[in-house]
Amino acid sequence: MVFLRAYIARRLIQALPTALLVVTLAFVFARIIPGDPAVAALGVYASAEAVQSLRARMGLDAPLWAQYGRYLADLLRCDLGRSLVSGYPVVNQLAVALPHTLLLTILGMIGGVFLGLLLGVTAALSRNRLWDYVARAISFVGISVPAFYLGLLLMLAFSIALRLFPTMGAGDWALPATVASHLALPALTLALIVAGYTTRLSRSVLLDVLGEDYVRTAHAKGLSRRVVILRHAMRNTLIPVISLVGMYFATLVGSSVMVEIVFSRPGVGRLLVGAIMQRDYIMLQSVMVVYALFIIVVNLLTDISYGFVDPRIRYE
Amino acid sequence: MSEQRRRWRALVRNRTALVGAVLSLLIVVVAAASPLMLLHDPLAINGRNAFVKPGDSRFPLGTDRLGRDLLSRLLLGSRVSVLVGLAAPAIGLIVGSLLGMVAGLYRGTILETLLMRLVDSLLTFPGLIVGLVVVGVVGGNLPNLIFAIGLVLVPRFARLAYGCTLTVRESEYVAAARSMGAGPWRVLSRHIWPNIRANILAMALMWVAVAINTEASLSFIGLGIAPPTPTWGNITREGMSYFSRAPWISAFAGLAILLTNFAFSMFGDGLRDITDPKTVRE
Repeated sequence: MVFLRAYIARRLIQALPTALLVVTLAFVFARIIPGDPAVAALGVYASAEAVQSLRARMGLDAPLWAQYGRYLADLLRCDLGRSLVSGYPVVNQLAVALPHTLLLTILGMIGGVFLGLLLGVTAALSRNRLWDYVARAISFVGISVPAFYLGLLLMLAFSIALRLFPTMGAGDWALPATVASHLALPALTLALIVAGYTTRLSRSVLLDVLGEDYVRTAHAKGLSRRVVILRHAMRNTLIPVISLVGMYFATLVGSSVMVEIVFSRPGVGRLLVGAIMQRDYIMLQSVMVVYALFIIVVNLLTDISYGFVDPRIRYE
Repeated sequence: MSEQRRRWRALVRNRTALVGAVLSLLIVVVAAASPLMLLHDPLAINGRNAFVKPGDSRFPLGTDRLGRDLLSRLLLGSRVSVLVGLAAPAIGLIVGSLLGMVAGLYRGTILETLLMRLVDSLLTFPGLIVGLVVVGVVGGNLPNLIFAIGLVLVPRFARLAYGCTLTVRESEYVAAARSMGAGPWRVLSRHIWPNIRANILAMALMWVAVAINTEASLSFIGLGIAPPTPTWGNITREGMSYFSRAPWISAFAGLAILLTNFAFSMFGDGLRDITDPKTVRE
């Protein structure tokens, strides 16, 4: 446990510079956008004095390094400023949108990994037989299909033709059943995409592992096939799968934006697209920071879970 | 047998790669020749032909709300997808590989740390979100789309080239070339690049699908090339507005994207099997 704790602490410290760089990149992105945020907020017909006074209030007349310092200080206090379009604090809007996005991506991720492992293991154990081809076909579609198109197809089949699920919105938190029925298809869309990658990887890793000496030894000891696969082979298949989850999480978050748009979910993706269309730089900067921090945290968690799955890593 | 002949024969023998290569080539040819293959003017509006169902003798894939022929629109739309799909990875490949190889060659210096830190933090942002922000800022015309999606791919190519360079730079022929006084540029172009390019080209083909997906996604959101110019993404978007009445519009446009992705992914996947020495024994 001591080693594990030290390992987690080390990973946390290593994540800090990345987080700072990412936060800085979001600041730079928002600053290189052409056009004046004060003009964007007030409209092109605003008087020069009005623009000047808003610039002063927004701190835009300060030197860039001072703006950067203030931005960091505000971030630490969780003050993300006010949306240029709605005038409400960005934090409030994010607090409404973020739970929808978190629920969607985490459910899509977990569902996809389970489905992918199931398909991958089935495929590897029935190599070059029917189930192998079925699993590989599903995986190939999952990898190639654009998220918005898969979402549309599922909507066509299950919402429009079969009328099983609603086509848009996210339901009401007070009525968990509505939240679940609105979440089903968007989460399934993401899960099928994640399953595409997971199936392919877990199949090829398990095939490699099954050829290893320790698996042959386990068989030779007279252990049942079940125990050999679950105890010996699966454990070593999980490690690359976990690292894949970490690597593809950013892609998944990108797909979640498309899925939120197809299903008109009031998540962070809609805030992002709205911010871009309306040139709301404050909102844009905050949304990018939120997405990046979310990805960093998940990467950190996958790194830490290595430590649990693979004892070798703790002692590195 | 020469290395090139061996690779060529491996390509012909690998069914995935061969089918993918033939399909990809076919799609590129169709896109290039699409203006010559149109049955109807893809922009001609005729209200009397609105919402013709697929399977019609004049409109094989049906028509949209304005009576425009969907097949002709999809054919013309292929040009944008294919152009972005080929040009953006080309930019990513040139700029990214160069950055990655330089970082790999100057291992242990401040240059490596700076370059790779930057690459890693760029990779923290989802590619689609970077594309969205860049296109949202500079506007969604064709050169901008190619630039934005190329930019998304630069850090990916840089990571890949960096990893490949690290494995090659310790080899004896690089040490030999250096001991004979070869400068960094010569080492890169004569010794490192020829040994890593097969891997990088195979991944470039896989990323053609990523580029096509990103372009289509931007178009679908409404940030790509604006109508009336047809692209697969904006046709899918328009079809969404009357999805329950005429689902075939979005369905066929998305299918075009999916098939193109299939073709290039198969090509890249097969090529990776050929170039990866690990799979040779199978």
